[in-house]
This record gives sequence, C-alpha cells and structure tokens, in this order.
Amino acid sequence: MPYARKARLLAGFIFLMLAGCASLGPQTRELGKNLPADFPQQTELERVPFFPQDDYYCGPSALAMALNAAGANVTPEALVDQVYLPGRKGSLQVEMLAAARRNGYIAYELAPQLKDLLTEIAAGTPAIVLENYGFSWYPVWHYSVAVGYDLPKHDLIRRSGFKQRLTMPLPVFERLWRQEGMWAMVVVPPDRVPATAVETRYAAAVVALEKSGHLKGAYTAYNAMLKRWPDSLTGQMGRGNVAYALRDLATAETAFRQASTDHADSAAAFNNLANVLAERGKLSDALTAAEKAVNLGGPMLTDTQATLAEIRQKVAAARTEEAARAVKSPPPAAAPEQAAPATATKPPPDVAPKPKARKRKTRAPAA
Amino acid sequence: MKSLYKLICQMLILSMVVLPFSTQAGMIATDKVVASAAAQADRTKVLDFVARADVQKQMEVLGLTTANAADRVNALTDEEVQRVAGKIDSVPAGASSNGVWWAVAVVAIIAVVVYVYWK
Repeated sequence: MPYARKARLLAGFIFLMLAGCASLGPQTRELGKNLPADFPQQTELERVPFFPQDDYYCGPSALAMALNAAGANVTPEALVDQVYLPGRKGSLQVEMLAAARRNGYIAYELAPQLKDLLTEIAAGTPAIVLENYGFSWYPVWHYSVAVGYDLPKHDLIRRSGFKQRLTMPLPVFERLWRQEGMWAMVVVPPDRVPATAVETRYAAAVVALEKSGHLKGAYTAYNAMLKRWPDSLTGQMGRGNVAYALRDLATAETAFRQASTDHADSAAAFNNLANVLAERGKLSDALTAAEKAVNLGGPMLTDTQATLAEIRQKVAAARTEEAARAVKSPPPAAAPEQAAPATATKPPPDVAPKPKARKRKTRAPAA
Repeated sequence: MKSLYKLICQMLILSMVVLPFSTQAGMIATDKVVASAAAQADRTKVLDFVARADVQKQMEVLGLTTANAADRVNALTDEEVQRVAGKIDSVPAGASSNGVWWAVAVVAIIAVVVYVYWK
C-alpha cells in the first residue's frame, strides 16, 4: 500500500476522531450557562438501593432500584415478568413505564436534556437512563440508574450492571446517551410531582396511572398536580372522575363545578357535572349543565347529546311520577315504571317545562 | 398470519357496524379531555385495537405466554402501543452491559480486517 494512501487514511481517521470529540458533549459544555447559579455542585443519592443485574436483566434491576427509591418494596425478580422480553434479551422503554404504573407509581419521561437529568437528581429523584454502547448499526442498549453527579469533576455517578457506583465523565455519558435520544425516566410516588415536570406531559402520566386502575393513587396525583398547576383542566377533571369512580359524588361535584367555572369552554366539564348532578337528584341544575355541554359542541358532541337525552328522560320520568302521584292521592306501594331509580324515591324537583324541540331522541316513558 | 388478518378484518367490519351506535350517556373519561380531537375518531379506536392485537402477537412470538402478553399490552397506553407497534424487533431493548465487550470486539475485528486488507 503506497504511503500517500496510508497518509490519507490516517488523516481521515484523525479527522473523524476530532469530529467525534468536538461533538462529544455539546450539552455538557452548555451546563454552566443553563443551570441556575445556586445549583448544587455535587449530589449523590446514597439511599438508592443497588440490585446487581443477572444476565440480561438490567431492565428489571434498574426499575427495581427506581421503584424502591420511590418507596416501593419490590425485587428485580418480581419485575421480570412485567418488563423482560425473552426474544429481545432485554426490556422495552414503554414497558419500563408501564411496569412502574402497574406497581402504583407514576412513570415520567424526562425531556432530552442533560440539565433536566441533573435537576431531578439534585431534587432527590434518581433517573433510569438508556445508553447505547454500540453503534446505530450495532446497538448495545443498556439501562442504568443515575444517582449522582460531580460538576467540578465533570462526572456522572450511576448504578450500572454489577457496579454499585460507576463514575463516568459527563461528555462521554452524553455521547452514549445521545444515541438513543437522551431517554430518561423517573419513578415517583403519586404525591410527588417531578422537579422538571411539564403540565401536559405530567397530566398524561397521571391519566395513564388512572387508566391502569390505581384510582386512589391517581386521586392523590391529581391533587398534587392541582397544587402545582391550580387551574389545570386535566387535574380538575381527573380529580372529579376518580372521585366519581370511587363513589365520592360530593367531591366529584365540587371538582366538576370548579372545572366548568375555570374552563367555561369545556364541554366535558359540563357533561360530567350534569351526570353527577343528575345522580345526586339535582335534576334542574343537571339539565342546565347538560344543555350547556351540548351548546359548546366540539368533538364530544355525541357524548354530550346522549347525556342531555338521558337527563331529559329522567326529568320526564320524574314529572310523570309526580302526575301519577297527584291522581292516586294515597301513593300505592308499587310506583309507576321506574325509569330513574335515583329519582324515584326523592320528591320530584321543580323543573320548568322545556318547549325546546331540538333533536329530542327521548321517548316519552310509558306511565 | 392468515388467521390474524381474518381476525383484523372481522374486527374492522364489526367496529364499523357497531361503533357509530355505541355511544352511551355518561362520564367523559380524563384521557379524552387530554387527547386531541383527532385521537377520538372512531377510526383511531379501531387502529388502536389492531395495534394492540399486533403487539400482543409479537410479544408471544418473542417468548411470552398468551396471558402474560395480554396483561402487558393492557398495561400500555394507546400512545405507548403506537410507539412499538410493528417495530418491536427494532426499538431499543435495554439489556446487559456485558454486551459492551462484544461491541469492542466487533470494532477490533473490523479494524484488524481493514488493516490486513490494506497492508
């Protein structure tokens, strides 16, 4: 091989190395500018437990460390069935999130920012990070738990694999982390909102917890959310919906009233308020709220129309009952057809007759 | 595979017939408040259903029991299902840090091959 060619190869190699170094840690270099002046220079969360991983189980062990740090009592072995995928010899990111929820905790994905990762650690929350030690064409993915940093030394401290305390220069970590889009997640108990949380994304995380069936946890989380973002529509609606699901109708009514006051354009708020009011026997108010929901239109029109139709039916049934009672003055034991059991036992509410004939799908109930 | 397509077709037919009439009076769920209008279209519901079936099938292929795969798909949100549907073989799966040495070995072998070839 001629020398000229060798020289060119060498030049190319050196150029690539330099280019690689230059792009090694752009966010690390910006840290000084992006972090507040009073940001702690060193933090290490020593209380985060350590579970050395077996074989390909870095997903279950990383998740177990994060869950236990958040207050759970769970072993990596117990999480294998929730996150490990044998055919991939690893764990998917979405399942790491889902498994945290299955255990009753909130899983929140951080923004792809080194400063957000450090901010969470400084606030006392360890973060699960996904690195790629290989290349885009030969990926070697690995989860570890970031538990500390040392800014003067430019080090990140993690629990990784068999190492309880592995330090790595921040620019190198940033390079490995960037290959998978700087993915990081935190696991927090429902009463704690992560330091870097953004309202919409945190709301989605709490909704996911609600849908996973952890209603009490979701209720706590919605309350925590309303403390940080008092007029959050999701927070108010979620609080109401969970209270409703837990059959705490009084709290549900308060929550939906608040939502419909703060967000007068939310058809969902009025719709749900109408449903709760109807169940609590306040038919007149329920009718007003249901009509408001339909008038607001929007993508949930079919739902709001159905609610309005049902409440009109209840109102009609209550009126028929009243009329029947007036005819047979000593009310018989067998009440007329019970279309609405909630209202059957209560005195019929005073409802002004509604002449509106708009889309009345309601059938007049047989008396 | 054929039976999966058949299942999907049947579900599509069923959902097109049933979904427009399935609206019930009642509470609007919190996720509907968060989701955009587009995410609430019946079409999206059908796509979610199909994506879930696909992800569950893939998980079974990758070694989970039917019951475990069903549990795990149920634990995912619609958005999470969309993130992995159809690419469960290629999305990152965090695994062993021992793999690092394989990566180093691969690079070393390539370097040796290149060096020997060009010498």
